[in-house]
Amino acid sequence: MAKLKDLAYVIRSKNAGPFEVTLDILFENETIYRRVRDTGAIDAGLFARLYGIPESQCNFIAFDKGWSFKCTLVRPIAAGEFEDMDVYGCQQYAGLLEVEVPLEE
Amino acid sequence: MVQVKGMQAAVSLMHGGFNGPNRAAEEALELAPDFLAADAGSTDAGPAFLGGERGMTHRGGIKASLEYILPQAVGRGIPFIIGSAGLGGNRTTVGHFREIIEEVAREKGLSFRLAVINSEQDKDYLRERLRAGKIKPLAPSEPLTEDAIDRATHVVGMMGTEPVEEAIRRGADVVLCGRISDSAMFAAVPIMRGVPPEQAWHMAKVIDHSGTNIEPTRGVSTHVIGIASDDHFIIKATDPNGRVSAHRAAHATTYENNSPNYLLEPPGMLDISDSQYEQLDDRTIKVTGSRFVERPYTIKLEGAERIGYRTITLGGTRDPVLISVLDEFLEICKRRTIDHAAAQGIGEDDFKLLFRVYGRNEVMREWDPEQDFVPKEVGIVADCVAETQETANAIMNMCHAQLLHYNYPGRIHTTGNFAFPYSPSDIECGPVFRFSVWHLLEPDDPLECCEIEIVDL
Repeated sequence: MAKLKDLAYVIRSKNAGPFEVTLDILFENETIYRRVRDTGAIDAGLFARLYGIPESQCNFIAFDKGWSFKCTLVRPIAAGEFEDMDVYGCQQYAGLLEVEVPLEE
Repeated sequence: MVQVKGMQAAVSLMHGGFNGPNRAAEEALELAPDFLAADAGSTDAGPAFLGGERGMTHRGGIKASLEYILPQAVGRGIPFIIGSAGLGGNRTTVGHFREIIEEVAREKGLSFRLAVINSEQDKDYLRERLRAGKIKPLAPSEPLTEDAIDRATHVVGMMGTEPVEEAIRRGADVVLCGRISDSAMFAAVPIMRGVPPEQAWHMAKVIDHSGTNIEPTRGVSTHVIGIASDDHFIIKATDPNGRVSAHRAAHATTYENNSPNYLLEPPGMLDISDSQYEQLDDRTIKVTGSRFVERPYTIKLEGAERIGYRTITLGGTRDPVLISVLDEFLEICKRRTIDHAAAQGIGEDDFKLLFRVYGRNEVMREWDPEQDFVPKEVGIVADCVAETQETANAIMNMCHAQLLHYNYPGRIHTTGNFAFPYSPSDIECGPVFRFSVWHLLEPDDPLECCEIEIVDL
């Protein structure tokens, strides 16, 4: 098993407009990206489990050309609303760091 | 074959403004770009810079940037486009930028033609468009109402390339824009010179995120220049030793965007699902296969309304007993603040009060996969928003007293419950806004949503 944080070179979150947050997992080369993709460990179901929301609300895509995965979620609270806690949406990725991928490192 | 070269201006009009002369960018100007553009806007930093009367970047930072870049652009006769001035790009913050540009021109003895393009939307125009069924919600917004239009402090329309093209046709050397699509700033000159939209818009997107295309190389500081053509575009490192990578360029479309393959712009949809990124050499990539699908012209509306005024208090504790009863404790503090306020004639509906507990899942809340643990130390922010600043101050005054002194069960100390880092402990934050308009407007003409003013300096 290998951890996602040791396989990816960028793991990030950011607003895609004030009402959505988009999570990106970027890989340094195509070989690692394909190996991770082919395990099937990174999919909409993973985001649904980690973020505790229905899979149908996880807009997931494996973006082959960019050697990356992307998942866009509707923010529970829009950016800058009274109750909001992350205006930029840039600190919502931490749950991805420890995700185990069935690969030898 | 048409060929148009463009690059980012070597200054930051956001994030603190000017950060010193940029040799790499100055050298890059030798490549004779056909235009320079600098993005000063975003919705990222929240609704305050759209709804309020102040931009995000302090005046000195903007002025220093313009003192540096204006002589270079004007001196070389390169059109310079500034987009979304002030962050939100409302009329007030565009005015602030205009003032600074005029001041710099005066002080530096520069003479040029400035176009000021406002994209703040007139409320009567918005009501007319709404009644005509020409304003639709952008998911996940609800349909727009006349009430929401009335309540908004500012509504801006995100412009396409047409107003910039028009300004340049009218002889503008410097184009100062209100809210404009990030990509439109970079696509305008290529489009007006005949570059097909798929090349112009895709290249624009990649230049807009220039920094992400560059492969970091020790000892090399480089920028990128885009060269748009009929059936492809090139992205090249401006420094001969700079490196640009194809897959990093592909990432440009994923950043802050919900889809890596499709980007909605005012005249239609950029479709890059079949784009090919070819590495020509270490320094250069070539992109082909992008498509642009025309659609009915739309302007994205962004608007904000004021929800009140904020006052906060910060504090921290490492008392294990208080931490073990923190939720109940905060609930009681809130209740007692509400009762205390009522005694002073401030109703429960006149304000909102919440506590943020840092060190215990405040950053991700229910999205955090790790929910059950006992922190050793927590920081709290008591956060009040009320109709007036005076009310918010009054509530926080009562609230901090509860936080500091309320005697919870099991308390071992007899002094204060929280370490307050500041005196005074309460901090006035001023007006608070929320995004209230996030819609698409269909104009009859792309130019009807803006005003272009030409000023000779």
